[in-house]
Amino acid sequence: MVLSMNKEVEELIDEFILEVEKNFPEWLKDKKEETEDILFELRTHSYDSACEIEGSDNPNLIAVQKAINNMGTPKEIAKNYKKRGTPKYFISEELFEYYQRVVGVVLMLVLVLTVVINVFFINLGDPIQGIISGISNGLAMFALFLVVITTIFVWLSSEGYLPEDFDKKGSKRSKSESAKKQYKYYKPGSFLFGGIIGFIFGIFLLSDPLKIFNITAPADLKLVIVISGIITILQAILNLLRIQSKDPGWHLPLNTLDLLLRFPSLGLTIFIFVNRQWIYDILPFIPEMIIYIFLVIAIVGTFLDMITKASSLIKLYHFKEN
Amino acid sequence: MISNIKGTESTLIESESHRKFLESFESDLLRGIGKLCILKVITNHGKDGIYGYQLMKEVKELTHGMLIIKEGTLYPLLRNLENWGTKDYSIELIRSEKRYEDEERPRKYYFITDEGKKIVNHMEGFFSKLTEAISQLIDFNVTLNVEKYTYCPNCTNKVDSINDANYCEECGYNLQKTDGTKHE
Repeated sequence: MVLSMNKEVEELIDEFILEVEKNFPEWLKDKKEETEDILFELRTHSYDSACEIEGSDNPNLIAVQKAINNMGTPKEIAKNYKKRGTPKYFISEELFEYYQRVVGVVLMLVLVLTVVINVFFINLGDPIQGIISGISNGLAMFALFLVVITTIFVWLSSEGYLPEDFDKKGSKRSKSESAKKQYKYYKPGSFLFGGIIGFIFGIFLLSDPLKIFNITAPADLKLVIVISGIITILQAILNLLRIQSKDPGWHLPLNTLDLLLRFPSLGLTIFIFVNRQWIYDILPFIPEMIIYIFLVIAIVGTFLDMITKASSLIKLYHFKEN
Repeated sequence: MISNIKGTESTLIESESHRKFLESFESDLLRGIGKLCILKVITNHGKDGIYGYQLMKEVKELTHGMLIIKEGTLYPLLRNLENWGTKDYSIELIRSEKRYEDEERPRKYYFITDEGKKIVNHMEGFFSKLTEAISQLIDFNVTLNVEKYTYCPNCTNKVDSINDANYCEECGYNLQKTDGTKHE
């Protein structure tokens, strides 16, 4: 640091630089060398500007504050560094290929589901109507999924994310112990995948899937499915929020919420197990023993998942404290 | 962004829609010209290089206050010029290095690269020919320095006449065929 700067001036500039760094997108913070380089430039610029305002090589606090104000707010400055990627519609050209792939996969899933429904669950009383209804439901579902996926990719483009930022190999940059630990809880690729799948599955659960399959079910079971859909969407939102920052302080409350959402999930699974007759009734072609085993596995799996989440949360808490 | 000082709140254009349109027009125009001016100023400093704050000031002074680089956008712009392109292609128009003028004041200096010089020549040539071409349309005079430079008729690259180049180094066009570049 510059030795002739007085301490207060130095602290003011440091504070400003720190605020700018906090507002950087995660993919930029991941590139330590580049981040330090940018902050070095901003630091020297603010000092040069302050010297000119003061008219001397030893600016006072007022001159430094003016210089900082002239540069813009930390958020505005950081925003300029998010402009990455070649613009193409609202999604960058680099992400567009991945967007197309995700949309393609979702389209295939919806197509397969529509065909399965129309073939195996068709209303024999009025098959034409059943097919038309199945196709229109499929189209409506695809349109909804398309909106969700597009929104996610537009947001990623606006934040300057590129495909390499979700690549595991790309993120293993620093060999330091703390960087390795960071890597364990910050997995942007997993978060993005979980978020998109969670949204799709959650919307599917909320769209009365039993009706799509022409299955009559008790109102309580439908309510359970709706609640499951809401929980799934909430978890999807948490996954997407996790991409925003690598700060453990950001992840702790999100992971805590995620863990808390597992409790109603476990409760619902147990509730279905207790009322497993519903499942026997709507899926008579599946042996009851199979359904029983599946529900037990689901309960055990949910419980183990909760233990894993709790353990990760504790590790993250210790990491943050240290 | 690079902004024209007249594009600020001090404008006397009453109609908001006129003001918005003109601000958008100025912004579009200045974006391209601004890059040329920045690269030219860096080129002018040759091996000495220039640091960010100095660059900002010089661009403003040399353009008589018409081009003002907003401080928050200067370094992203320079970063972009250091490595412009996509995953399929990239170009380094400038390079940078940290320098300690004395022990206490480190600064990052920017220098034009060889590739950058070629690009600047081309940009200058294009801009010169463009202003010459539209000069009659907008009723102003432009006199290109044809004694000193040849402008490739194929790609508008500006070539130093002193070097007596036979071919344009950008597109390979035979410059001996050209009879000068003055627009009549």
